[in-house]
Amino acid sequence: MTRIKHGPLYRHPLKWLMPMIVMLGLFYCYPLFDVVRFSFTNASILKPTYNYTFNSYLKVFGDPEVLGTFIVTFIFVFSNVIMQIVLGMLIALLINSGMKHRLPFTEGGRTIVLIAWMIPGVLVGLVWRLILSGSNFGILNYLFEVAGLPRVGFLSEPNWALFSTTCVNIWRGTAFSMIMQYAGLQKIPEQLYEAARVDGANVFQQFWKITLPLLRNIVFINLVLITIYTFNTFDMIMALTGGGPARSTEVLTLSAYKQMFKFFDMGTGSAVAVILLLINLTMAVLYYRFILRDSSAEAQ
Amino acid sequence: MRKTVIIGMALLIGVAAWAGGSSEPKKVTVPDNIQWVTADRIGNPNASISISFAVDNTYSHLTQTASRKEYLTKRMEEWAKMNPDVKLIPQILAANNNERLAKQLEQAATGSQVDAAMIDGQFVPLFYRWLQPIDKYFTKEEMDDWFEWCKKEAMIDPADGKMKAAWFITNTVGLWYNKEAVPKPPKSWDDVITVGKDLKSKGWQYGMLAWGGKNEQISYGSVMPMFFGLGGNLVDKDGKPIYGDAANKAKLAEVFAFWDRAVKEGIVPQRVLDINNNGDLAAEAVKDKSVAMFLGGSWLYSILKDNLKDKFANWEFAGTPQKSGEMRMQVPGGYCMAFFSKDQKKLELAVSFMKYVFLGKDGMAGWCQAAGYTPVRNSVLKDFPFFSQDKFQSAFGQVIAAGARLRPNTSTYPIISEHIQEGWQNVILQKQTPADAVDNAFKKTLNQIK
Repeated sequence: MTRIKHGPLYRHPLKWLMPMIVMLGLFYCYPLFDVVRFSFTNASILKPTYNYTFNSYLKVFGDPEVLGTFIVTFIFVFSNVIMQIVLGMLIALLINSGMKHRLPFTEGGRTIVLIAWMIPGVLVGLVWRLILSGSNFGILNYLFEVAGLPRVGFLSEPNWALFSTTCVNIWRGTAFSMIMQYAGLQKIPEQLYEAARVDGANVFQQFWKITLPLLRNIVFINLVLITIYTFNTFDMIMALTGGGPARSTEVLTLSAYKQMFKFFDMGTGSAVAVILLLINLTMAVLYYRFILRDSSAEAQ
Repeated sequence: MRKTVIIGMALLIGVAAWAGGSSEPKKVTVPDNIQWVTADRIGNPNASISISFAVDNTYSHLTQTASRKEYLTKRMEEWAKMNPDVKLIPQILAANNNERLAKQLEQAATGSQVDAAMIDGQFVPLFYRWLQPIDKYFTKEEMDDWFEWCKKEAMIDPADGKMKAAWFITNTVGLWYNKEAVPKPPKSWDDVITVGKDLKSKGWQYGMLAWGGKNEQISYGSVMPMFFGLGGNLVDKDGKPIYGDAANKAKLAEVFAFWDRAVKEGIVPQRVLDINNNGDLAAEAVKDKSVAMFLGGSWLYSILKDNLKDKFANWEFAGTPQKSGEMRMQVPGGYCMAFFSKDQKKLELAVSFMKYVFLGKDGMAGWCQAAGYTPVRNSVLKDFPFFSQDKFQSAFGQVIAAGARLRPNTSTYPIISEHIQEGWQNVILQKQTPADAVDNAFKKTLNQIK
């Protein structure tokens, strides 16, 4: 048998990987390292020099209203996660059923839902500001007035502002959840549903015993990704409320922005960014434990 | 070899003769039928000299306000035609003041700033180390023409006595009022409550409005004039925040107490927290029986004039109401034009352009008239009748002349302002008492600067 002679590039794949390693190193690892490094300094845009210190983290947790920021962030994130998963699932099931039964406008309906996801976050914020504004050009309040209902401070009352911001983000993000779950639904064999119907299972039982277990992996991936995206949401909230009124919609990303661009405090802004990174890493670890570990246990 | 040397020498002599012998300057070609002012260029596209400058959108030829757009386009085109070998590349600054300042500082520090830029007058001292001196482009007469406070606060770098920026407009927040509904503007806080109640009883939707969305304008318009009017101080001479110290805390708490009372009495709605752009205030002014008085910037002049049209004649401008009717205090703001280019030719041309459009006597008069700002050169106020005869320009100048104090130009000011804005919003929301709001704001400020 003839032995194939492999060249030097085959024996040393590192050379093939080098361009990607350089790219990742320069544009991912180095900036990440730099942010972590800055979080342990008192660097400021106003000063050319800085010292290493833990003070930035002390400032973050020394803010009298930091607990409020964390609470607002977690309410915003977990409301979004739950509602985007649930609504995404409902819409995916509807569209899947519509496609199976060849109902008209099903594809159009799917496209319309996707449009919300395609619009840049800043535009979403601005458009919804026009709709929710308490001013005379606020569309929703105008309709309330015409209907003889009292005006609502959707963006000027703290609870309403958080509720409005959450709803707008749910509106924007449900499409992503829908498309992920719709893709998952395509993989479930129709024969399983046929067999279940033969056995007398109703719609709810089919969903609970077939759809949900087989979509488990997709749902968990969805869960983790939506959590990460929502923790990192900045553009829409900035355009819609700017974090107000009185910090009632100030999530951690806006807090980081405020530190960097209003207070010129790169150290504290980086500290907030690192805290966000740790939260997102925790989500990634949860994903690993719930998805990959369970999947490998099932394979065994 | 010999042939090569001879040819080489001949070529060398030919080139030298061409370069040294051509005494006529290279002719600038201007294409036929060009658009001198476009969205991304001002001047001849074939020009050999390119100058970049950065201004706010509302100070650029891209603004939507007709009067501003007309003036700027005309003036820029005139200058461009007089200087066909120069093209100017405009950049639009971020709308958010803090973001804009942060980006400008970052660009200056990394050497990637434009050749000329508009900078908030309050923060020009932060840029001194990067700005080019421009004394030689202004005569002594011109220098003496500027308001003293403009020179002291920003234009002259105290480190070397050189002129590093040119202040070109000032503005202030005051009380816009509809004289048909409010014949005499309220001067004191008690007057505001009385007039506000009267307006509500006559069916007006709001007693008084103000900018309440998270923005410097809360500090600049709704808090600082009243706080300074009471003699309060934000910082000590070293820039350390002292607004939460005993004496100053009481004064700031009094200001917050006025707003607290205005909300409780139904004069100022919590809805003000949703007002965070000029259009919001203008829209309320336009709607019938919506609002007859509001705290707004003098810069609303052109937007109100364009939108109210004939009804604009019913509106007037007065100073910010103070605790007592005898007190008068405004906080003037405004912008400077500053220059970063180290290329002397570009610097000269950039200064020339800015003088023509904004800084020179005619430029400043034209821009302030078109945009509704107050000029900062005495000769402009004296020699252009518009500024003494136009009721608004006259009012803008008078309220500032009656009493004015600038915000401190310290690096701690943005932090102080942010926390005062939050405190004010908490008072409007009735979440905190005035005293607690001041305490909380001061605590946050001290935590931030440690």
